[in-house]
Amino acid sequence: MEKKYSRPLKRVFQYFRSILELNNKVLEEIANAEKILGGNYLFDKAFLASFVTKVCETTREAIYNLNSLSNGSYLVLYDILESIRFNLEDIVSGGAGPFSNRLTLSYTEINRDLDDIVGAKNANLADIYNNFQIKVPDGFAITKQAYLLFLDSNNIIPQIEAMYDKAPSSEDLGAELEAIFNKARVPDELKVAVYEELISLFKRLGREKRLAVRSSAIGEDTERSFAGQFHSILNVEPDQVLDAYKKVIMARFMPHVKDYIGHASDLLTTPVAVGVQEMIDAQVSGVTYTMDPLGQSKDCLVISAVEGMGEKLVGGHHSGDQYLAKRAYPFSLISSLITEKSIKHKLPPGKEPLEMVTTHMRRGSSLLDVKTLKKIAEAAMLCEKAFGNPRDLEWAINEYNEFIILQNRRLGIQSVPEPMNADIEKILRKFPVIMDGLGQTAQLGIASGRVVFVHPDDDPENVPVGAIIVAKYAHPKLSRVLKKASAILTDVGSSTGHLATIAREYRVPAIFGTGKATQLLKDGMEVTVDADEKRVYEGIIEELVEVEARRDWEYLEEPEIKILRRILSYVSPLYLVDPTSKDFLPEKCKTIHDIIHFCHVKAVESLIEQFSSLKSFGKEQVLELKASIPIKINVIDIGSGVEADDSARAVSPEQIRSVPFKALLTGLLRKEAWDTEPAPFGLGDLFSSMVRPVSMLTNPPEYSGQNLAIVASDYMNLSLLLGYHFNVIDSYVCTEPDNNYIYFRFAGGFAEESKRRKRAELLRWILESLGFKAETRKDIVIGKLKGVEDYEIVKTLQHIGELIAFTRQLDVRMADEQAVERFFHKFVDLCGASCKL
Amino acid sequence: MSEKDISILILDDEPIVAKRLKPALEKKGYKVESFTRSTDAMERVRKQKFDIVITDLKMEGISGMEFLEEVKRLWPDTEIIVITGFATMETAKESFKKGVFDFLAKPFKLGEIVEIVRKAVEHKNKQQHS
Repeated sequence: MEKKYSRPLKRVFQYFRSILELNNKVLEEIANAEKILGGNYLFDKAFLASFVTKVCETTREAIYNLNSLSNGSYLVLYDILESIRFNLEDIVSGGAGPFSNRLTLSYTEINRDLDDIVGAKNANLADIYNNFQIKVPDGFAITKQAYLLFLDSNNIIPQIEAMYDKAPSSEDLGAELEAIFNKARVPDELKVAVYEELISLFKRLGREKRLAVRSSAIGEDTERSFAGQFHSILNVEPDQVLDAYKKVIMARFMPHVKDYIGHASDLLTTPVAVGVQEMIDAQVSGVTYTMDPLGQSKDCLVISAVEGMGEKLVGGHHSGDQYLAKRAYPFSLISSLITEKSIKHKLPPGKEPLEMVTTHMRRGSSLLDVKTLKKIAEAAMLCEKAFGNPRDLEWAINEYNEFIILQNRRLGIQSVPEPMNADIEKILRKFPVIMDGLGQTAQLGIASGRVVFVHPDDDPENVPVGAIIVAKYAHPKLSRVLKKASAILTDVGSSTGHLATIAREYRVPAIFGTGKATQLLKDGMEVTVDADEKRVYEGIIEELVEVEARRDWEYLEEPEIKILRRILSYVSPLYLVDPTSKDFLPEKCKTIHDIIHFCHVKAVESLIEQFSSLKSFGKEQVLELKASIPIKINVIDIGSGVEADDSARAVSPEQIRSVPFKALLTGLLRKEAWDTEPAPFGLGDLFSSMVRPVSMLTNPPEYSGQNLAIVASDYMNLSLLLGYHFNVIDSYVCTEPDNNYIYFRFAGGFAEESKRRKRAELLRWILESLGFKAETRKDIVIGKLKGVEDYEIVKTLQHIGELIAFTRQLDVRMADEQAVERFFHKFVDLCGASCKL
Repeated sequence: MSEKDISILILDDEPIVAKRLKPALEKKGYKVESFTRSTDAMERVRKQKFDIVITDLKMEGISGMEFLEEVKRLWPDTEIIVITGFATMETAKESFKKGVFDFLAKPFKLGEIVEIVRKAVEHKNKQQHS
C-alpha cells in the first residue's frame, strides 16, 4: 500500500526495477530476432530497422535509469551506445558498419558476414578460426575498398576498357595488361595499412614468415563458384607483398577470367579482395567434401590427400589417397584407396611403405592415420553445421603435424537427392517417446546420439563429439562443450540466455527449461532429439536424421539474413561476462548485450550497496517486526511489501507481503534453528575480542545493532548486524528466471580467526550445496544464486532463514578440524526432507 | 476447389517476402504469382481474378490499402490476407472493415501463413457450397 513518507527509497528502487524490466525487454527482442536465424521465419528490412530502433531506445532508457540510480556514475555509456547505434543503422541501410572504409582487416576481426568487404575466401576462413577455433593460416585481408582505391588512383578501368575494345589476341592482351599494372602505383595509404598489418601479423606469429597472397573475390563461392579461377602467389617475401598484390589484381583481368565472368562491365560489380596469409609448409595436403558430390555414399564424407603442397590435387592432376568416412561421430573409416607411390618419393617422417608393387612403385603407406582422419572429419562436419550446407575444404598438415584449413567453401552438389519414400509417421510410432512438449526450443534441428550428463566445470576434453548433452542448468560455461555436441537439453534455462545464443551460432539443436530432462533421460542411453517438435525418442531413428540432412538451410544465404546476422554481431554477443574482472568497465562494452548486462549488474550492486549502508531512514516509515525470534528487525516498505496502514508502528509476519522476505522469515521463524544455549568460548576467543565488551559473550541472545529489512512485493534487502558479524541478504524474485537472484554476504564474527574461517568455510559449503556460487576471503563469504525459477528462490530463501539462525554464534564452536563437516550435517538434518542438499 | 485450381497473388515491395513465400505455397500445390511493385500488381488484377491476394500495407506508389480496396471492388469474393511490419490496432481494424480475411504481423513463421491460406481456401469452398 502507498506510504507517502518513503518516497526517496522507493524512487531508488523504482530505477532498479525499471532496469530489470528494460533488461528483459532487450533480451526478449534479441531472442526474437535470433529465433529468426534458428527457424523458418519470414521477415523484411523494415523489421530489421524497427528492431534496431527498439533495441537502442530500450537500452538508452536502461542507461538513464542506471545513472539515476547511481548518481550519474556511468554517463559514458550514452556515448558507447551511440557509436554502436551508428554502426547498426549503417548496416541496416546496407552499409558495412564500422569496417566499410578500412583498406585492410586482420583475420582476427573477420567473420563470414564481412564477405562483401573481404571476399568469401577470407571471410569463411577467418570465421571458422574466430568462432570455432579451427586452425587456419593467420593473415589479413586487403579489402574491396582498397581494390577500388587502387584501380581508381591509377585510372585502370578506362585503360582496360579501351584495351578490350581493341579486341586484341589473348597474347597481346596479356602483355598490355602487364604494362598497365607495371605502371600502376600502390597508393601510400594502402602501403601504410599493409605494412601495419604485416607488423602485427608477425607479432602474432612470433617471427617473420614467407606469405601466400591469394585473391578473394566478392561473390566468389556464393553466386558463382570461381574456384581456381583467380590467382594465388606462394612463398612471397614480406617486402614483395605489394608486388604480389598487384599481380593478383591483374590476374582478375586475364583473358580466361574475363570470359568466365562475362562482360567487362562486370568489372566493378565483381571486385576482388585479397588475402595475405602466413605460408604453411605442408607435409600432406588434401581436400575434404562433407558429402559425396556424386551422391553415391550419402552418409559419408570424402577425404583425399597428397604429399606436400596440394596444388596437384586441387588442380586435378593427381587423385591422391582417397578415404570415405562416416559423417557421424565417431567418423568411422568406411573405405580407403591408397595410391602407389614412387620409390624415389621421400615419405613424410613416420610413414613406412609395406610392399613393393611393381618396379619403382610401392604401396601400403597411407598418408593419414585413423586419428588424423577423425580429426579432419570432425572439423569438416563442424564447418558444415555452422554454414548450413555441405562444404568443400582444402587443408594441410604442417611440419608440427597440425591440421590447418586453407580454404572453406560451399560444395557444389550436382545430384539432387532422391525423395524419401519412408513413411516417417509409421516409423516414429515404433520408438518410445521419452520427453514431449517440455521447455523452449532455442535452435531447431534433429540429432541422435548418446546421452552424456555434463556439469559446467567438466573438462570439455572428456565430452565425446556428437554427444547429446543433458545438464541441469543452461550455464554459460557449457558453451565450451556445445560445439562438440549434436544436441543439448537442460532442466533450467531459456531461449533468451547466453547459451541459447551459442547454440544458434553452432546450430546445435537445443531445448532449454524442460524441467526434468535430467530425470527423464539416463546417462549413456541412445536417443533421437527432435527440437522442432520438442520431442525426445529412445533409440536412434535414422530416417529422422535423414530428414534433418535434407533440411533446407538455403535461407541462411539470403541478404536479409546476412544483414540480420551482421546486426546481431553488434547486439547479442556478451563479452563482458565476468563482473569480478578488472575489465568490467563501461568502456569495454562492445555490444548492446554488454551494455544492458552491465546496467543490470551495476543496478544490483548499486542497490545492495545503497540499501545495506543506510545511515538514517530520513522520512521513511519504520515498522518493528513483531515476531518470536531473538533478534529485532525493522522493516521499511518501498512497494507493497507490507500490509499496514500509515500510522502503524509495528508489523507481524502475517502482514508481510514481500515474497522473498516472507520466505526468509519462514526459515527464520523455525525454533529448532535457533540455538539458544549460551555459547561456549575459549581463552582465544576472549583475547581476540578484548576490545569488545565481555557482556556480549555471556548475555543470552538478545541482539543489539541495526537490523533492517527494506522490502517490496518482489524484493528484499535485509541487513543484519548480529553481535560481531554483518550479514546482508538481497533478493529479487519474479516469474522471469533471468532476473531472479539471491545475494548473500557474511562478514566478521566474534571468535578467533581460525574459528571464524572455519565458519566461513561451513557457510560456503552450505551455500554451494544450495546451488549458490560462493567464495570466501578470510572470514568473508559471498554467495550468489542467479537465473533460477521463482519457486527455487523461495525454497532457498527459507533455508537461508534457517541458516542465519543456525550460524549465529557458530564460530566459537568451530574448535576442532571436524567441526565443519559435523555442523554441515547438523544443518542438513535441521533442514529435513525439504532441503535439497 | 482443389489446391491446383487456387490462384494466389503476392504483393510486397521487399523481394525476400515473395522469394520465400512463393515456393512454400507452390509446394502446397497453389498457383502463385508475385510482384514487388504495386502498379504492376494492380495492372495484373485488373486483367485477371485471383482467388487469394496476399499484400503488404506500406509500400511506395499505390499503398496496400488502396490496392486491396481496388481488388475488393473488382472481385468481391477474392480473399485478402494482409501482411505488414507496422501492425497497429488501427490498421488491423481498418483492413478488417474493408473485408480482409486475415491480418498477419511480420515477422511470422512460414507455417503460419500457409495455415491461413488453407483456412481461406476452406472458407471460399464453404461459401461456394452455400
